[in-house]
Amino acid sequence: MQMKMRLALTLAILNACACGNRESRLLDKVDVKGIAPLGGDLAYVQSSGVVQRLNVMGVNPQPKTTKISITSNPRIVIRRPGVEELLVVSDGRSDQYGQVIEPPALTVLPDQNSKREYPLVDPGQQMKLSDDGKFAVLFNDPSFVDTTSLLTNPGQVAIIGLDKDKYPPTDIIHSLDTVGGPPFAVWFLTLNVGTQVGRPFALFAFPQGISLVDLDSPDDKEPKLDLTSWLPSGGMDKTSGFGVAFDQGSAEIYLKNSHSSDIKVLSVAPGIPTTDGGSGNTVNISVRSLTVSNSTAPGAFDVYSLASGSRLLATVGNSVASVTTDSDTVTSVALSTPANQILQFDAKAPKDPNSGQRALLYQTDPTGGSLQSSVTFVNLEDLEIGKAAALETVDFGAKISSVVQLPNLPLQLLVILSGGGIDVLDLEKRHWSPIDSKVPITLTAATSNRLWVGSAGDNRIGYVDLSNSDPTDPTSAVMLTIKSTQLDSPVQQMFQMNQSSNSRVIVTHDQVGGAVTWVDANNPERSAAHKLEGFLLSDLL
Amino acid sequence: MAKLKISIALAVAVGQVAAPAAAQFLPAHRDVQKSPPNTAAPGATSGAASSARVVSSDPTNGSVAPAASAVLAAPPTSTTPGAGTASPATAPAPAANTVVASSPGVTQEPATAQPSMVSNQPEPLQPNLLPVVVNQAQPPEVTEAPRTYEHHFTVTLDVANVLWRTSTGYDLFSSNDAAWRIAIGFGYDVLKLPGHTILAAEVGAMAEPDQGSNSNSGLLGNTISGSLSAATFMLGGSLRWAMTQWFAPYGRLGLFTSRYAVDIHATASDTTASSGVDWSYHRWVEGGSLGAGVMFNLPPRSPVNVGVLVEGGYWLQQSVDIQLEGSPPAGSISTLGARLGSLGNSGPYLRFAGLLRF
Repeated sequence: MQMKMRLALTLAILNACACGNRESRLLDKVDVKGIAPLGGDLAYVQSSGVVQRLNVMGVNPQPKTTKISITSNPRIVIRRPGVEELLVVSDGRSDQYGQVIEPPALTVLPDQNSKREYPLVDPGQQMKLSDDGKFAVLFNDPSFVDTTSLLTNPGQVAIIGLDKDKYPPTDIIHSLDTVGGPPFAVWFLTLNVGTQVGRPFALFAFPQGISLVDLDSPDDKEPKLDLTSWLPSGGMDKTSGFGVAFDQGSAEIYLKNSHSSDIKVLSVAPGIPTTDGGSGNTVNISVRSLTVSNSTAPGAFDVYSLASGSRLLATVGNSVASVTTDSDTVTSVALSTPANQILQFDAKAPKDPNSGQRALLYQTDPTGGSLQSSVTFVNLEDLEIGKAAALETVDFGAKISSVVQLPNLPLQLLVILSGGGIDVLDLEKRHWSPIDSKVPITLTAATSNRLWVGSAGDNRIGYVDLSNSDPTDPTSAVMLTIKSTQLDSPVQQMFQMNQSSNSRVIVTHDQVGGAVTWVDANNPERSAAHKLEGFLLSDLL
Repeated sequence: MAKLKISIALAVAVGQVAAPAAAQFLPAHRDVQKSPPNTAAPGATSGAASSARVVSSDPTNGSVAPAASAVLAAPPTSTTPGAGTASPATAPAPAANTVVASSPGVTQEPATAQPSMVSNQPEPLQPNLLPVVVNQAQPPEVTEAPRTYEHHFTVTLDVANVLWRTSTGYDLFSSNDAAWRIAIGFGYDVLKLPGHTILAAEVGAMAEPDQGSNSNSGLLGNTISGSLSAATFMLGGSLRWAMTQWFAPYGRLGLFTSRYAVDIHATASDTTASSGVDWSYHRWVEGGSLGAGVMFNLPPRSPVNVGVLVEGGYWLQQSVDIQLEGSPPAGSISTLGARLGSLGNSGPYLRFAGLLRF
């Protein structure tokens, strides 16, 4: 017994001598919240608030990263449209007593290793970006549960002009004059109000109405509109089928919801300054209704212009309607296939050698429950007169999951089939070429004339190349080329990146420490590919 | 006369005690010169050994001869009158270092040391055997210096050998900084320098068994683990000061090369991801160590001696890069793994070893 005690004591002393516990930074998991291209780098945004940038466009592959710290607990990572910047919405952090240690913020990461931060009031907000990337609006997300703060103001929003030279980073928080509750959605519009110059607006949708904020003067009192009589009894939310379309030239906004067959038309006119020197509404809104159908609410709608005036094109059940916005005249034509998406384009048609306004109607459904195998071509200029003759249906024989347009070839539509495979649809000739695939295509990355495709979890990537037979003649015949490349690890995400003369497809793999394979987009052979791994752990120890 | 008797009796008594002791201390291969068989001299009465001889140890070994090296012959079993043979019963026992001169005509016979048969009873001197006692200075008290061996070889076996690796890189492999190792060494005393200083050359081998963190180690949220093992081959020398026969402080300088084997495993990040990934590689790294310690051993009274040593010092070695590097199958896409950091191998060490000297 005494011997055992001595042994135990000796071991205890030796253990005490063997000091040096691990540093806490070695204990936390590398938790990647988002991956996005940024300049020539791939940015990995981690929950700890560290952004690690891996250069993937250099000449020599190097598994090293540069780091920059931002507000912790990032939740949204979006690449800013049109500008080489990354937008990250972070919730910040609080201690166990609710004391805020880091306030929530929107961080803008430019191409260089710097950052701009816009402090937010509440964590858990959702963000909407304008299509041109000039504005971001952060507003209440009802699905977010705030465990630290007892009270929040859901009417408080952040309206951020992302052009740093034009909009200061101050005065971004605004309290909206809500209509029946906090906003649940926002749309960005450009309207020519009183002038020929477009003005940016944000339209906020509330449960009982809308308000219109002039983004150039967000502090001005925004006009709001109570639409209770037009809305369902419980008011609106994200599931109400609320939709917005606008006509910039006429400064008219069209509203729909899935409970009414009427479309509300908002005419926006310049506001009248108040006589007492106060800042009155910058714009005034007048409302009227268009009746698209007697009983059915519109599915998708869009505005197009004819010589005789603006028209509203809407899918209504199994028909398509053209509505003259001035006179509320409706021309309805039955569809053989229902559609909830409208894609407008200008092109010739097989029986029309002249280029004209046309639309493609198709159906998408994130749940996959109502997908269709057919699409409908509509000759918009002939719809009111030709009616059914203005429609043409193309059946792909398989359900359509999504469609992708290539930037340089807008008339070649890549139709992704839900069961696997891609059909290349020529919008002019209205015929399609099948490309088979045994796995569903879930990832796409488009370049000028090439669509890279992949399937999450599969080891292969491939591309569909559409090139004009005569590169100097955009009207020459399109040649179709396909190729597949097998990688060593399953695909997680895929990005197509260009810098100077380099064009690469960067494929990420779900692996501890990070892993990417870069593939030369011009020579997608395994022998020319490189894999980098563990770069998120670079110099960790 | 009485004084002489006492002297003889004392000599016999000392001889009885000393004879077995001498047999005990003498090494077997350097025994006391064996006496020839007890043969009767021509003309002498059979079995009447009546002479003694001087017995000494081998002078070459430098040992002290037993004090009682002269003994008398055993008493005869029979006596023949007129044979002129002295009866042992009547022969006085010579004192230690006493030369017993036989009478003329009496052959001096070698006698077997049989102290047990020596009578210590005072007997009257035989007229024909007159002992001549040469009084010599008595040797000092019986203080035999025990035999001392000179050992040239040393074998060490480390019972505890720990290196403190304080670099962060070691955190991948262990939850603390102590690296436990086992080692064996072999040394040879190549040079004796003045002042009991000895220069020894040494070779050794050391193994650092698998130091590893398992998948529940807590590293990066239990997503990564590593194991490390090392084999080290050393050449060195030590300068030892033999302060006493059993204690010697020393300094030691070693040069070595180590083969580090590193294995890193990353688990699947979630259930939908691919299976975990493994990286494995090895590196050879050179280094040196400088230490000091003390050596304790038993007095060198046997051909093989045992002892212990305690040594501390500093282990200086190049760092090893911790790299996500493996051996992908042929045809794989060219892969580059990140450098996680470096495993610093330098640090203080402490060893406790058992040793054998021979």
